[in-house]
Amino acid sequence: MENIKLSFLSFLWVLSVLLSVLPLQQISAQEPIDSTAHYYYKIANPKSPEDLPKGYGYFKKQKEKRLAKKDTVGAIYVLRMLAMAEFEMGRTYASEKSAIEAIALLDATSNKNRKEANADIGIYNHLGMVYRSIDQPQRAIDAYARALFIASQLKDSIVLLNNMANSYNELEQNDKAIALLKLAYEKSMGQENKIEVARALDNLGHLQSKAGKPEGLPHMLQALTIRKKTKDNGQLFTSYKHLSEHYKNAGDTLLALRYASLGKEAAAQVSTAYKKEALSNYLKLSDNPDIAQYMSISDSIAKATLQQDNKFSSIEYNFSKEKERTQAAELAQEKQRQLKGIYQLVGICFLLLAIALYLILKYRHKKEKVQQLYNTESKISKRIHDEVANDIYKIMAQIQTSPDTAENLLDDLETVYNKTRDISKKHSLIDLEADFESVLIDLLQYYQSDSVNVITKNLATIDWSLLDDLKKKTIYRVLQELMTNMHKHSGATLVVITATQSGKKLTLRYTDNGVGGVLKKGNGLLNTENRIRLVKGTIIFEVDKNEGFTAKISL
Amino acid sequence: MFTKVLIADDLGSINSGVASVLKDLEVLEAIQVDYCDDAYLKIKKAALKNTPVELLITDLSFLPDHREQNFNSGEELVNILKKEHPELKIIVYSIEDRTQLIKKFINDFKVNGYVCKGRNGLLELKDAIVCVANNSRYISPQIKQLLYKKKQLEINDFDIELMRLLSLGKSQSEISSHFKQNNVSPSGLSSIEKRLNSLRIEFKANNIIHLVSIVKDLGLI
Repeated sequence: MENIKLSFLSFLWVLSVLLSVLPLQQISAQEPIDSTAHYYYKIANPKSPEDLPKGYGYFKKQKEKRLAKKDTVGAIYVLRMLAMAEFEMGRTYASEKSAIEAIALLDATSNKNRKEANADIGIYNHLGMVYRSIDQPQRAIDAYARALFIASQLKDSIVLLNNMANSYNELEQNDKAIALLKLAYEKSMGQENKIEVARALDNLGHLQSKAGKPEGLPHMLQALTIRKKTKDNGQLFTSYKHLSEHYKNAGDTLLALRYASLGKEAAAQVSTAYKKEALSNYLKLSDNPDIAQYMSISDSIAKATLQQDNKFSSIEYNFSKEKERTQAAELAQEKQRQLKGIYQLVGICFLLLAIALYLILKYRHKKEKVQQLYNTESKISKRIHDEVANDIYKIMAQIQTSPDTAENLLDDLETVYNKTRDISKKHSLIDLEADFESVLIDLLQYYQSDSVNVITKNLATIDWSLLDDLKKKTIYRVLQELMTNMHKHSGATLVVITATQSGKKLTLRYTDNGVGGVLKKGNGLLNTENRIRLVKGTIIFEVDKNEGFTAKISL
Repeated sequence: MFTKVLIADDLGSINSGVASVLKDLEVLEAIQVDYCDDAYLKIKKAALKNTPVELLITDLSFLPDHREQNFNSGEELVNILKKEHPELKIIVYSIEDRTQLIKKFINDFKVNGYVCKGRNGLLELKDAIVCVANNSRYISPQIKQLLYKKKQLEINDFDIELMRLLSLGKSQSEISSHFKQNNVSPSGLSSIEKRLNSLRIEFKANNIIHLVSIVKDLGLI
């Protein structure tokens, strides 16, 4: 019973603190001051039942706007208004959440903004109030302590000390509560505002009286004297109530009744709620056992209702939180689905691009191949024209001018015949199915004669199976080109071909002792370079005048 | 001498040249065909009629044309005929002078003659027919030269080491003992001498000093 009454009153104090730290000037300039101020009053001072929901709705919309604009100071203000409205509407847990959201914004913001918002004390005080209302005094004390830590104004500190003391009282730690109130009293002494002195004194006296301390009564009476001067009926009612309780506990029913009656008069000047409480206090002192029983029952029913409300709003809050979470999860899932769609689209685009690229490359490759084929054909055609046709024409001319002997004619024809065979040989198929070493040896042997000795080094040690067909063909053609070159131009008598293999890499070194120095990059040798490049190999020529010719092939 | 000879070559002029040779040799029946398949069928038919073809003179390369063939080259024809009619004598008459291929015909298919189309082609063919008729094998002299040409010399790391040691001024006996110490074989003085001699000849050197100079010039050591 005590708890409920206490908390009811302390709410009023708390509210006063809240209002004092919520000056209207804080409303940010870019919003129409009129409407914000209008809705501020709807929440701070509701006149009709619709006022609170209307104010709440307005600030709820404002919250999104401010957050979208990144107006942190404004958002904090709006969140405080929301917390206040939610608390007034009995949605305690939502109010707690709004307050915590505001704190999170405060913590994240810059020091300058934080100062500008000037909201810390108010929010922590509000949180304390919320925790007290849901019967969690310890958490309330923590919140007040945070606020006290920040508070710089004496007035704020006194209010906070009072609130904290009340929480300790609820925890039944009267010593701590009394100590805090003493501190509040001492601090308030220096203040102009006697209301605070009276509040501290009255609360102190009340607790001291409860603790059975003799100095309780004089403190309460002193507070009453001050309050009579300030003529604040709400405060006066509290004083009368405390005094009445004191006398009731002291067994002086007459005085208790008298103060209760005075309380009724004071409360009548304040509000119906005050009046109701004053009446109930008065009736509790009645001799009539029926009335006493009625009061007791109605108190316990009220308590039970409050607890139930608390529990219900807790469940409701948890439910809505759960719903929010589900919605958030659904949203995340939807986003994921969209993202997946995008990835798929990107993947398909990539694939199409790759296919297009492949087709283009393939087409280009085919074109290149056709071009190569054409080049080869024209090369062969040129050789036939230059070497064969010319020679035959020469022979024809010879026959016409001076009919030669058959023997000479046969000689000339044989030269032409051999030339055609050379051309054919140069472009003939290479037998890749046979042992490649003997194929190579065949080739080299072809150039071996009485005047030219071909020597190979370590050719027998090469594992030809490590080379693919294209590489084998390349090696064959390049060696063929080198040997032909040697045969035609160098006048070499010795040719040495050194083979080295390390892993898959093959190196062939061709050396002869010919005249060298006649490296014509015109046709044949350039051709070897192209061939080697096609299989990603290298060929290096070293030519010194009169010092032979060297070619190093690596692939 | 043969009484029934088949000539398979897709060049009419060559066929007629061959026919004149056969006429000189007084061969009674000389059949000419342009396709491998025709040659195969005619040989089969003659064998069934009990008037078998005794000799086949065939080219190796046949230009493909509009007629689809089971046998596209002389190689395929020779291969199947030697299996199915081992008693049939075959002379290859071709421009082909790749030793690998020729070796295949002589060693694997065991043809009775291989004549290279060349300046003296027809004369050689005449000799070949006479030889084959006398149950001996004929191979054109220029092909023979290719087939039995001295093989190129293959040298290895041992030879290089040998010549390197010589270039360092070591005597042959010193090299021999050096090889013995290092378990290199052959290390005998006579083996080394023999090897050096063949190297000297291959590298066309007049003496050992000349040999070292040559291999050094070639960048082998």
